[in-house]
Amino acid sequence: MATPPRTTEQEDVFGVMQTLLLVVILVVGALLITLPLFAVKIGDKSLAVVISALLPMKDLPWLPALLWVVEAAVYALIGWSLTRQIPAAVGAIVLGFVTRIIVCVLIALLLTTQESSSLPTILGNMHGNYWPYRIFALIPAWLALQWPFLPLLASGFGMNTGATSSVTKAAVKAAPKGGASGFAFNTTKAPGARPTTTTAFPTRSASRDDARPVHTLTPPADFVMPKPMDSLYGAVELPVKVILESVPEAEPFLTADVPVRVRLAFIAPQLARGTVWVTWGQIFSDNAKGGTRPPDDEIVDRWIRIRPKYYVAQVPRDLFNVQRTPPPWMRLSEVSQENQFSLEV
Amino acid sequence: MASINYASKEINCKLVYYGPGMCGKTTNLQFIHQNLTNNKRGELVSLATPGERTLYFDFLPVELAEINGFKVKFGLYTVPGQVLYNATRKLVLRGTDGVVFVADSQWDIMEENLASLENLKENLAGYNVKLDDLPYILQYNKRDLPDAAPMWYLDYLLNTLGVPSFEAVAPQGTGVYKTLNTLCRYVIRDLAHRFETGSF
Repeated sequence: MATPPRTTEQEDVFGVMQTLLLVVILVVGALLITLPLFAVKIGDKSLAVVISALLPMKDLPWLPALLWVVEAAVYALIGWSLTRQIPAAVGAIVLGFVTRIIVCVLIALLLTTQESSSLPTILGNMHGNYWPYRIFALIPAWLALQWPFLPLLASGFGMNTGATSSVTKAAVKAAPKGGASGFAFNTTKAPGARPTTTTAFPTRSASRDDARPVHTLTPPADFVMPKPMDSLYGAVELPVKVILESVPEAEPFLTADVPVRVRLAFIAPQLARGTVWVTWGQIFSDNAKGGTRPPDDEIVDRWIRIRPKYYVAQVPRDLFNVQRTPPPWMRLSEVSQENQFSLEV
Repeated sequence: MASINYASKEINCKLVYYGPGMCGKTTNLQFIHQNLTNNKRGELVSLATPGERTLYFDFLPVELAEINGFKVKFGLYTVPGQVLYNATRKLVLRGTDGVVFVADSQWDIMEENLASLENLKENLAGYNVKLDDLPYILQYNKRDLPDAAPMWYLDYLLNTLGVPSFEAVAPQGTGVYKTLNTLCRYVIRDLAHRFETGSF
């Protein structure tokens, strides 16, 4: 049960690299959007200058405020549509504004080369006279939310998921591979994504010679994965042996004495079934405690069966409260002499 | 459906003990048979495999009371719990006046409990009977085992209608009579109601 330890240095380097990558993506994206404004010439004037000339010279007093609200709503809507989580929608507002402001600064820098106005003046006008540039800046912000920021949003800014890549290649290689067992790799699902099949995952080409026998545990034939209750926070801690009972080949990725956390959002919708089925991806849905999630392209998707004894005590009791209406025969009045039915031990 | 013999002044009712395999249905009947006096019970008819698995059904006639001059007799039946004997289970359910659903309290048997309850509903539906139209009681057996699930959880999972439920340890007789007494009373109330409304 050897899990490769992750050092602080590795964490830091990875964080810095990720941040740098995001900044590069944003800057390049913003330039790609804004440069044509200045490269395209109409007569001897750039498109940016032409647009500026067409703008109403007088500020509309209500417009800036309205744009702020609309912009925030757009970002929240994007965040919500991507993750179905309210905190992620709020996070999207922050990320959206940060991205858009970076792009606005870039546009303003370019505009200073075209016009005589100073940078602070142009930046100030971005929310007044130059509001179309602000709208242009929404495009890279939207793109940024769609791609580089999506994992960040879906994982609750790293709080809900343990999607990290610090597992060593050696550990990944040591893990048994799927093969002729009827399972396939599931490489692109974000945490919380639902499988579209109700029985087993599509068969992966059994071309690898090193395929070893693996568990092929699947839910009952009529099993339908319910929609996760995204508004429900918290997690359930499971002993590692529960995971290994279903997926013994996960052993290299799990630490024996550290429980694995699964979000309540996946457990709660299945409470009435008596047994909960989760996917391999879902067991790492909360902080990656108990092990390290292998890179998506290296791990086989599996079903894990969780018996109620492992989660019932950790689920809030109010989720088990159900309104019941007694059947009509329970409301019938007593019959005389029915007390004679009273056998005693 | 209960039968009434006016000549011999007898009312005969049928009660079925239903549940997953090895949950203790036959043990319930055995305890009742061993602890009732001879004048109140007949012979326990049982057809089981050498491994004590019910092959067809168990039958125990008991006479518990006399109401308005009529002797009330109950035929207690069990069904084979094993999945492959569904045709037998359905046959035994035919014309039943009440059902005891015996659930195994062990954590690892929850799926089997639920499947059996679902199977009971399906088999009753084959006779155009809904479970909530029929007096039935839940008995949570094997409460003495260390890995028994708590009562509130069993109620959440299995008692979707809020019917009476009892804890039981069938070999010791805990909860066995309580379950039977309660079901008998509800069955008699149901019979009386059907007489009054003319739906008998």
